[in-house]
Amino acid sequence: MKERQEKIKQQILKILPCKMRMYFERNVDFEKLQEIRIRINKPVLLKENGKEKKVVAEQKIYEASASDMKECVEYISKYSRYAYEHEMSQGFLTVEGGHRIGFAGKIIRDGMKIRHMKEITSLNIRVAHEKKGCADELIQYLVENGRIMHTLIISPPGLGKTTLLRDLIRQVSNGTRWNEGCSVGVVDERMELGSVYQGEIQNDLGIRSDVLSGCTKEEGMMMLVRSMAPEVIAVDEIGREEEIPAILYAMCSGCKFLATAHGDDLIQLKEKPFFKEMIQGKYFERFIVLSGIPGQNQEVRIYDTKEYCLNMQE
Amino acid sequence: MIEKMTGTLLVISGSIALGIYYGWELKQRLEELIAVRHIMELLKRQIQYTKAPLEECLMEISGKTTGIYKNWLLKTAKRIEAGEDENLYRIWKESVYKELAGTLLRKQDVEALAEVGRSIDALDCDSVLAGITLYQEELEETIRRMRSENKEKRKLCHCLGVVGGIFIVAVLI
Repeated sequence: MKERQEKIKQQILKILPCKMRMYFERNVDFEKLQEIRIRINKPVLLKENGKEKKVVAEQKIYEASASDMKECVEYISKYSRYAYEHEMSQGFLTVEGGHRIGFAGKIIRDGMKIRHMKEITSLNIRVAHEKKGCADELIQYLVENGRIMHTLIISPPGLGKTTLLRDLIRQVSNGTRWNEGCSVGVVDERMELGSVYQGEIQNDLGIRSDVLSGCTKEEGMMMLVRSMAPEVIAVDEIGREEEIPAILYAMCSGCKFLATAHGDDLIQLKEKPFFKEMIQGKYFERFIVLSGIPGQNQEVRIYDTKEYCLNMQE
Repeated sequence: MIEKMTGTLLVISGSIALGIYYGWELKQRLEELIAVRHIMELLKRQIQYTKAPLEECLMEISGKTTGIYKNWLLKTAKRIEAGEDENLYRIWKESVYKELAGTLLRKQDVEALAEVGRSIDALDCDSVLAGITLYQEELEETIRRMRSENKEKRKLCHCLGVVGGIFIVAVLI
């Protein structure tokens, strides 16, 4: 655990501008750290266990300069912005350790298409935490006859969907007392689940997981079904129309499906055209809804297809 | 008399050796430039096809090279990984000057190679590749010129070595 925290600390410090490193090294609890927001000429803000804090250097609130931002972008992109054209055109990239960096700046267009982003003015570093065992209490509700069911994890951003999915993948892959271990194909489009770095999967996704990273979810799902014959397919943040055929293809091929989606709850999710069809068509058999602040008052509710809460009385 | 003979022999053989050395240096510089050209081609292909970050490209290429160039690529990759400077051009330049000091590349060759650091610090892949291509074209021209001139120049070095030695002996005697 301590080793993992030290690793996260080094990964985060490595991408911060030199002037900020000292503060973070001395004053930040990396176990609680959730995100860092850097904006040019604005105070640097960080969030620990849901609470916002300002970075203070030499008894003054530290404001990030344009050179701090430039330095930070260089470190994040490993001095190779050309290598992240695709990611930056989508507004984010994932660094070593699975930490996701969001950007805002000036868009470079190529006709109708966004090609790149320059003159970065704001960035948001979201610290990835691997919490082994966070799915321990949930797995029993997601298993039927020893086999995992099609499951969708729903929550607003920052409540731990990806962390939960990562642990679910690990448990499904390794097996628990509720289910036997089975092969899991992970499509890691944003490199947050497995955090593959220089050919090594850095997060524990279990002994039977195959990770396909760097491709779109729809391409990845089709490829995995054809090439690796997984029993379960796991993807993070579904929601685009192009993904529907691939999801249906994977489901029809006999694969069980683990996925996450942005949303406050089932009711709100049903208002989105893509999910309305998926929920009403009973493609998913279990829904995990996260709410509240992680580490403080977080609630996890599991629903079945009839929208009956299985783990709590409502 | 024996002293004069020994001196004459030493002067002439020394000057011949000098001529041979300069001839060898020309040949060696050409070989070094060809090695750099090979590395640049590998780098270009790596960037073009894998679109991997520079550090990974350099690590990969280092496995396909040997000696001083392997060391240069590895050290540059490590400097990038460690984030030694906030500017890639400075990292690349420092690395070129420091790690390739032991080669027979001339000042202008090293300077041109150091300037590649500016090209690879571009926002998009096309610009990076265009910068490398431009350097490759200049390098190709230098190699072509050297190839056509080297034979005569080496011959000249050898002749000058012999003639120069005889001339010094004649002056001294």
